[in-house]
Amino acid sequence: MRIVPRRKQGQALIEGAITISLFVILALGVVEFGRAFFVANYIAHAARDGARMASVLTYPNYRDSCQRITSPGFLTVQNQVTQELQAAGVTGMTINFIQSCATGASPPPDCSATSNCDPGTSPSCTATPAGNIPYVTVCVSGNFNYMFNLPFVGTGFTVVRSATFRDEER
Amino acid sequence: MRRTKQGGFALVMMGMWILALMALAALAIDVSRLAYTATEVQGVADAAATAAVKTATQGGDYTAVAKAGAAKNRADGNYFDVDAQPTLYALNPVQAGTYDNTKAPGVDPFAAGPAPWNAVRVTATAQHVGFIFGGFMSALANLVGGGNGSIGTNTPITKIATAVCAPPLQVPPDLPITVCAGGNIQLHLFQPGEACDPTQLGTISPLNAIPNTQDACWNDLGTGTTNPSNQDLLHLFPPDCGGNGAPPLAGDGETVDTNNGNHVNLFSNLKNNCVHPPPYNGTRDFTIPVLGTCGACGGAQTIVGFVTIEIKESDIKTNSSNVSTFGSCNVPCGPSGCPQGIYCAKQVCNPSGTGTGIGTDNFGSCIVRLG
Repeated sequence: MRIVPRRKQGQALIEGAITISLFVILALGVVEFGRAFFVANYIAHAARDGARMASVLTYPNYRDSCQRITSPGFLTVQNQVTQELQAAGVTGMTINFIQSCATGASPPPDCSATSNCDPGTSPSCTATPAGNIPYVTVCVSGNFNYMFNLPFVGTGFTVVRSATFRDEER
Repeated sequence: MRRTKQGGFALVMMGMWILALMALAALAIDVSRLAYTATEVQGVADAAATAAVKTATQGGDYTAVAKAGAAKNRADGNYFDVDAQPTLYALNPVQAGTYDNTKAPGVDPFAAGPAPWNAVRVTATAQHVGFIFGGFMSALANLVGGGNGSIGTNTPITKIATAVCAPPLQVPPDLPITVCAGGNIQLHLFQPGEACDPTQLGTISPLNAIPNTQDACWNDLGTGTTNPSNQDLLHLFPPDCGGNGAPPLAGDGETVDTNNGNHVNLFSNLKNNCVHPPPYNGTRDFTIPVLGTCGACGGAQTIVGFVTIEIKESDIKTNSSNVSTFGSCNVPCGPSGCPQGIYCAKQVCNPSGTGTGIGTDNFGSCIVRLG
């Protein structure tokens, strides 16, 4: 009969418990990180597809005669982006667009900005100033919630992704 | 004694396992990040190419516009501004050329070359995409392999995008009017890579007197209304011209019902409500289908392309007053006078300002596509 010294009893169990806990946390962390990248990738993709779609929306279905994107136009973009996000299981994101223009390599307007270089609404159109390139930006923003309640990483993070294309109808 | 020596062995083993798992996790995170950054760089290339192609077809500084378009998008944490961050980002080369999708499969349809251009190809590179765990992975590799190598700290990511200015496949036409490519209406047919020369464009005159000439027809835009009334046709006008909603999409190869009909009131509507008001102030562009068959209007005909025409208010004749000539291009009216209609409509390069494109039925309308 094996005699285990009293002070060694349960040591393997405790070692196992500690290591398995670490192992599980690490494994869940890998899964969580993988999903976070996947979702961020999807959101960036959806924003890009939305911006590309917005850039080629045409009058009169989706723009007024000043080439300002109208509500049906925005709804079309919003539906496209929402459907793409739903395919990745992402819901509750806020989608908005900004029509702008610029002369050079400046960053696009912030996602919270309202349209600058606004083409105006019909019939008082505002022409894009000479030398400017018109752009349309689609922003997708919202909270990404973690699946697992892991220690030290909180419950999620805020995602803001935008894509900007030349506004081809202006 | 033996048992004492074995104490903590499981802990050591598990420690090694966890180290291996951490290495895998580090690898997974870095690879995920590289994949994500690759998506971003592709987005930058797409934005740069689509922005530049319109400028290239107009003969402008397409490289500057490609840079500006790229700088509006992020990759690897910053805006892709190649002038402000030349060590991090590069757009090289930015090539203008011609895109011909009739090339055989496997042959690159894009060929860089001298103007005229209808396409732009952009190669975007994020030159130093860092590994988050590069140091850890190198140390681990050295520990396990016993060497002194390194997997490095970063890698370049390159993506290519080609944008082409091509004829539209499907558009919502602006007016329920079609023209045919032959007969009295001499539309200029653009060849692949041909730049827009305004002097080459056709003056569509007379686009008039339906049914006195049979080069233009009223049509139902595919709604199946074979004998449309004034009201039916008015419904197909743009909303600000009296239409009651968005016209249906029409595309190359689709058939529409053509019709003569005495719809003179529509010319008054076109002039007074469509072309005259701001922001058009008397000159407005319309994109309409082009039919392949000239001859009697009536029955189904096939759309072979689209043309954008510029109509001037002063060129719309809304009454039957007898004049010797009419319109800005002075159409001789002859003994029977000029009937109501649209005269001297000008083929324009719209909406991109170019007539370049691919395919065989390109009358000047063009949209940008990623090729």
